[in-house]
Amino acid sequence: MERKDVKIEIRGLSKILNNRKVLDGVNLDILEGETFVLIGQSGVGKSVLIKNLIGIMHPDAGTISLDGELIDYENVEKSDRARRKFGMLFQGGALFDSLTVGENILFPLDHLRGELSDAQKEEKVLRALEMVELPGIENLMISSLSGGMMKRVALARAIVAEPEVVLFDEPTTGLDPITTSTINDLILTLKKKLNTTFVVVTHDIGSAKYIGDRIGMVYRGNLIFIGTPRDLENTDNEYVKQFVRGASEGPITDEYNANVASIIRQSREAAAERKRR
Amino acid sequence: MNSIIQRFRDYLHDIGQFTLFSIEALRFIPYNLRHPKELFINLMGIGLKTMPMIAVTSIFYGLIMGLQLSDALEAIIAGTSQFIGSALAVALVKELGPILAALLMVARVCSSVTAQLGTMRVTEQIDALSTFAVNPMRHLVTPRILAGMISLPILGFLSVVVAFAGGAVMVISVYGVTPAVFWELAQYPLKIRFVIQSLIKMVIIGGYIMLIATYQGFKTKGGAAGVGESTINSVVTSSFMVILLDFILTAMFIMFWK
Repeated sequence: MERKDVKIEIRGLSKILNNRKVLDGVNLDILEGETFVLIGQSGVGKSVLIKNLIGIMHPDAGTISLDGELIDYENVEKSDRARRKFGMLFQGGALFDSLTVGENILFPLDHLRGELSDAQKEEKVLRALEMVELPGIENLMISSLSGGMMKRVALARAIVAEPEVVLFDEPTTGLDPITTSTINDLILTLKKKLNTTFVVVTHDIGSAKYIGDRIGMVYRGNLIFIGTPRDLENTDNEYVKQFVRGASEGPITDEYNANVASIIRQSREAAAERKRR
Repeated sequence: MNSIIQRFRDYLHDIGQFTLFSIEALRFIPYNLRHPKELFINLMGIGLKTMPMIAVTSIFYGLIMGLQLSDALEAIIAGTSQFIGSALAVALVKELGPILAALLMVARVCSSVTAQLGTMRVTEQIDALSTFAVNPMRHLVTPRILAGMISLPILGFLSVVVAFAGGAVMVISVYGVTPAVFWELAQYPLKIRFVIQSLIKMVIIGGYIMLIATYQGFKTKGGAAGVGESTINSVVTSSFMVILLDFILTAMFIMFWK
């Protein structure tokens, strides 16, 4: 494999939400031009990780660098520069339902690419819709779209301002198998056309192996595995094995059950304590 | 005991959050005056579209007031219903018009603003805004607060005029007071000071209830149930604050500007 430059460098990233350490000192390098897929169960902090990248959440500790430059979302000027380099596809699309499809896709251009003329912006909107294979729907309202179409429009909005890194939060969750594979194919096609860095969060192993150049598995706030789809098949890590097989028995469920048991015990103790008073 | 302390701390935390939110929102007023696109959109939604509702409610409000007050006054001393003109003019300008308009605005606008922003929050639309380098406070909150500050005085003024007309219709048609006498007596106790004080009250109350509505929308959590919860909080808190702020401001006017 040719040597690629590091695009995003994450060092010691920690995030605490509701008194729980969701991310616990994550170290990760994402390479220029690759598709890096983060897998893991729901609620292990995959989405939190990419939300820290794009500045929707701010890390409690640790640093994120983009092209060797530290990202600082507290600093308005620096954060605007960083945001121009990122595009994000949200889990539910997060399309503005008060606007039409065209206005939704125009929105990032208006705010991130103010230097373009109106004609150039319009041309980019139409091209983005063509790229996601939905030409000519720019005048529809968001509410009239199906789930798969919404994902595509959201994808068009994420790539229209030509970001250097596109983040995908669960691109195929909630879609039927056929739409899932068309979205996966679309991601691969876009990858060829745009040649940018993709970071995808998913818990769908099939999608991960299909679109990913490298895969990382998040467990309990940290990466417990990084490797190619082939490495994923051949790993000795019992946690990864259980997740990939989708088995109901294994170290992940054992720890989960122990955790549930301790929560139940605590709540029982608390209830007994209340009764005593 | 611990839970009481915890709740008190949560309460203080909430007040702190609201204060920071308010400061942040007011900071973007100059920007929104320079780029008034969102402000105009919200003026339409908050102000213009509330006008028919205010007008219809106020006319019946006026008719009822005219009828009830004249009836009461006639029962005490027959032939005195022309003085209702004075009573209506002062009461409507000072309190009834602004408060009616403010409460109707809470019912129609605060609820919808909170539900809309709350839904935007839980569907990540607010997060999406910040990924396009658009500050959600600047784009969603400040224009609505400004629109509230501008709309409520206009709506209140409309309410005063329409309700007064309704009252006049009743007193003139049912009790046979001549329009000239009614008009004369209505103007007599009014002072320009009352109008200015009333306008100041409405600017402050209009901004404040939109601040509550947007704050509740922004801190929404947890799906449809969360949006419902926020909307209740928004309507209850802002209805109460309308009356409380009115009381505080009226007391201050009476103490310092009489």
